[in-house]
Amino acid sequence: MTHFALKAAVAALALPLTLGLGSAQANEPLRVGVTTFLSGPGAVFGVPAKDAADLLVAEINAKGGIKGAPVELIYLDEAKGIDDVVAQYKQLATAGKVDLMIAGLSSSTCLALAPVIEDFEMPAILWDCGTHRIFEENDFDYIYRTGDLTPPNNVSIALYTLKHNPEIKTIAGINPDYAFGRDNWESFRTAMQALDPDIKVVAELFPKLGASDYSSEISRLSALRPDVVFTTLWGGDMNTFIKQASSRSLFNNSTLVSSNGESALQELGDAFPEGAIIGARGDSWFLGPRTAHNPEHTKFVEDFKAKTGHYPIFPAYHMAQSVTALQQALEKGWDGTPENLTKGFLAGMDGLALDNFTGQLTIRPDHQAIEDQIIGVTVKSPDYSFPILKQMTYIPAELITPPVGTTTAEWAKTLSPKLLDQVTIAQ
Amino acid sequence: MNQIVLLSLLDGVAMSSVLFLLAVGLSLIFGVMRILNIAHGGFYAIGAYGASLLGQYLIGASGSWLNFIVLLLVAVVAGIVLGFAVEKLVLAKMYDKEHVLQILSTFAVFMILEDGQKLLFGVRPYFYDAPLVLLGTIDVAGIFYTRYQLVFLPIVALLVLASLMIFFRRTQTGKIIEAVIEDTEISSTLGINTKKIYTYTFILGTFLACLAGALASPSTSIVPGIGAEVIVLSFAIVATAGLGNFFGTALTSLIIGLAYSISVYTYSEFTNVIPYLVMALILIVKPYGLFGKKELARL
Amino acid sequence: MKLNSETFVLLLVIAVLALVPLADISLRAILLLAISLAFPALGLGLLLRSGQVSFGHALYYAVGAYTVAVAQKLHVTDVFLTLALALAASMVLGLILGAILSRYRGIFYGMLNLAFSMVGFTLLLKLYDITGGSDGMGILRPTFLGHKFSNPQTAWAIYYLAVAVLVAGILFLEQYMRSAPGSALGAIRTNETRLEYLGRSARQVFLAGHVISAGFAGVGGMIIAYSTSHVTPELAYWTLSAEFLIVAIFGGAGSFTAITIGALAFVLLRNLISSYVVDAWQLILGIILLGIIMYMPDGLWTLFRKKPDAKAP
Repeated sequence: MTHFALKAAVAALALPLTLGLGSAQANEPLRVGVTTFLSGPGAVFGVPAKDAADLLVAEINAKGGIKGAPVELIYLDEAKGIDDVVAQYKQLATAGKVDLMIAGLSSSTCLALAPVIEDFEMPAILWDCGTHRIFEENDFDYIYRTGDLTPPNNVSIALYTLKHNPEIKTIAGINPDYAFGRDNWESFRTAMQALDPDIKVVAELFPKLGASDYSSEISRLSALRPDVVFTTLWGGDMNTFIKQASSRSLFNNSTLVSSNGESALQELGDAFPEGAIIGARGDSWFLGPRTAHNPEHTKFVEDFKAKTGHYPIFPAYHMAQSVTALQQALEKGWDGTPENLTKGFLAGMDGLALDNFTGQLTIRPDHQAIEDQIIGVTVKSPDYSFPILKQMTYIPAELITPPVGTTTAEWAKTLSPKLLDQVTIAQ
Repeated sequence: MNQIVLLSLLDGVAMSSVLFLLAVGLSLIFGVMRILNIAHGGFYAIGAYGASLLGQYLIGASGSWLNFIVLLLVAVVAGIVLGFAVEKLVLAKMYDKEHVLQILSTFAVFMILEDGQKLLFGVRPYFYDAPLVLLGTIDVAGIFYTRYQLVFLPIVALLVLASLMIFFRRTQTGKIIEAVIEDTEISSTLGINTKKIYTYTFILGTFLACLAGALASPSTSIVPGIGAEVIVLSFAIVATAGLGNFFGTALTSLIIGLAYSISVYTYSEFTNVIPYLVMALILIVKPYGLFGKKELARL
Repeated sequence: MKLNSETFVLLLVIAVLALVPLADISLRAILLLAISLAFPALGLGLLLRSGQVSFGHALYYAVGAYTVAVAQKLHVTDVFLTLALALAASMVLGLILGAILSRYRGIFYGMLNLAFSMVGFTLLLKLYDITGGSDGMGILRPTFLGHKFSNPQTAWAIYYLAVAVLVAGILFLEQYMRSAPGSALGAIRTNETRLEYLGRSARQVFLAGHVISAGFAGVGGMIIAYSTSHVTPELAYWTLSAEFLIVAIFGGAGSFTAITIGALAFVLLRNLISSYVVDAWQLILGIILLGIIMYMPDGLWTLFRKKPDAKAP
């Protein structure tokens, strides 16, 4: 018992030191926790992001780290379940083993984890999740998002779709049954109907995330023959759906529209239908015109391909945005001391403008980044084993993003067919 | 309206075939050995992975009639190897123990198989649909169905059902097994090697689980975790049918398959609840299943 | 209370739970997880006295957890209130479902429980507007009789509250087993008809047992909600029900103290294995479990019908 008491006393004295946040010192590593999907159906999406992070951090550390502190990445696997990720984070934070977070591939993770990170008063960047609810339903001091969000993803693709196929009359949606799937469908549907009030919704399907069989849903869609089938299924789910649908000729009569479809192009290869309208959730794409002549971009693509055997997809670009934004913010606002890490982060992230190989983005006062959206139509290519995009168009951010202080729902009411006149798509 | 009825029926039949193939192996093992085999899901997954992998490497993307031989072969080999191993190493030692412990031992095997899959096959999704594409599509009232799902699988399901019913009612071995089900003690005094019967039955049940996985593999994405989904669905079907009754299993699969597909066309929000709702409703009215008998409740 | 070796072991367990986190704070989360698993395992231990097994107790666990989340949405954040609500909610549900379930025994009792829990799971998944669907719901810091503490202080308070409730739970169960309805549970296992001859309703005795076990699972759910700060429908999935059963068997379903030790051992073992063998811990745990089931009679004696034991209830 006395042994315990002694240990307890020593521990009590040591506690304040171990619980200290922001305990990284110059030359002591900057420990960044990163959540992504490392296994399961989401891995095809989440592992490229990890690869991008590893690549960029290796380069940063080769050049001396950030303000002299080497960056150390600690990965948490979102595939183990939201509860698990939150519990793991809490354990790391309580033990003082992490200094800041780059969190959230999945919207579910962001919604669950962000309040907990904020409660620990730890700086964090949300890197991929798209739910608009994160900043509309919460007021965070320590959390920023460099990734783009749901409304611009879908309003941009709605604009493009109607400009490309003005004669569309019916739409149907098949989206995963969780925040991301439901929010995206709501966003797309509202936009389409605001831009063209004659449009009818013929089916709204929400299969379970991770469902392995879409046969009944495909039968139903085949029977209804909507002009547009909109989906934000991703990872393994999208692969399954597209393959099953293609083998049953669903896309002979319906145009596939997917605001996050770019991530599946390489994975599906030529099984991906031609003539599909695809977004890349942002302004980054490895063959995008804006970055085509940027030497940094060319190097990034080459390094990525050498490391992984694939071209970078938008999850990789999103992660790159977060890592480079973090670097830029800390280089600008941090003095390199552990006590001032949080202060430095906040100072640096405020009003940050990124213009590099990942494209361009600006951080608004509500901590949300805005960027243009690249949309295109799929076409087979002799140079690649998968379809690439033609008729690529960047839709400007201001047209498609709810302004600061306005909720998505309120802003959606202001959309009208007039918006179509402000957009021209490449021919 | 008629089109919806027709389509629900077609989708329902396609789904029911898959459900039946899934559940029949479990039903057999419970019927004969009184063991609720949780490892069933693991066998299914291995059948799926095996068929997908071997198909990809041996035959490639183009596919040929060899694919179907591969499917069958994978199921047979995996069924015999796994079934024999599990029965001899684990179950044989558990026959005199409480049922709870038997079930938990199969759960332990399931856990081992789950990680075994990840180590052998990795964590990325597998998709090999050559057999499905090979059989092409069939046009029904303007909708394209794959022959594989609409014709091939239901035929296989019927064949399996017929074979099992003939085997148990007409053949010598089948009748011996029925005797063992009725009364193990007397059967062994009659000179029947009950241990051997158990082994063969378990191997057959495992084969059926692997076959279900192999047959389902061309139409879906195979990822870690499909085993767990499959087990609880199989349990629901088998318990609702009446443990150990094949005809009941077929009927229940049909009911659930149809209910599921009708729901996709009408009230699609609750599609995923359907199997368990049907199970709960039927069990409340008939607690031993549609065709079950009270004696099976012995614990 | 009799001062025997079992009491001593219980005191030791309490001491470990109370003092280890003070020495190493990183163990606190794991121990809290063990406590939250101990509760449903204890409930199952109670049912095992009557020879019955449920494959669906994760339902009550999830109900307890979601009660905390829903209460919070309705601005009820007091930890004692949410504890009472979680207990009440799971017991009421246990009573409603138990009215049907208590008719059945054996594998059918087990399977019907499973059916209900899968319906519950799917409802939690589908009722998106109320439960948040597969995204689940977040849990914020609770208050303590009106006081709000800092993040680290709250974490400690929740932990010691859980330890206290656990001790109370174990003592309750031991007392219950000495009471009339509790000891009658054992009769359900050996000879139900005898119970009826004595003028007791076997169904009512079993129902009471079911409701209490549901309540215990609900308390476990309340603890996990605060521990992980998040609840998802996965809390109702059948694999968790199976895990509760494994935990109940691990230490020894014979005594409630043993079950608690089993919970600790299970969680610590799992953590240890998964930190070394990240991708194969299920495999190793499965093998260990098989070993215990097949070769280790210690603690599994209640389930051995053939060996009557002096300690049998």
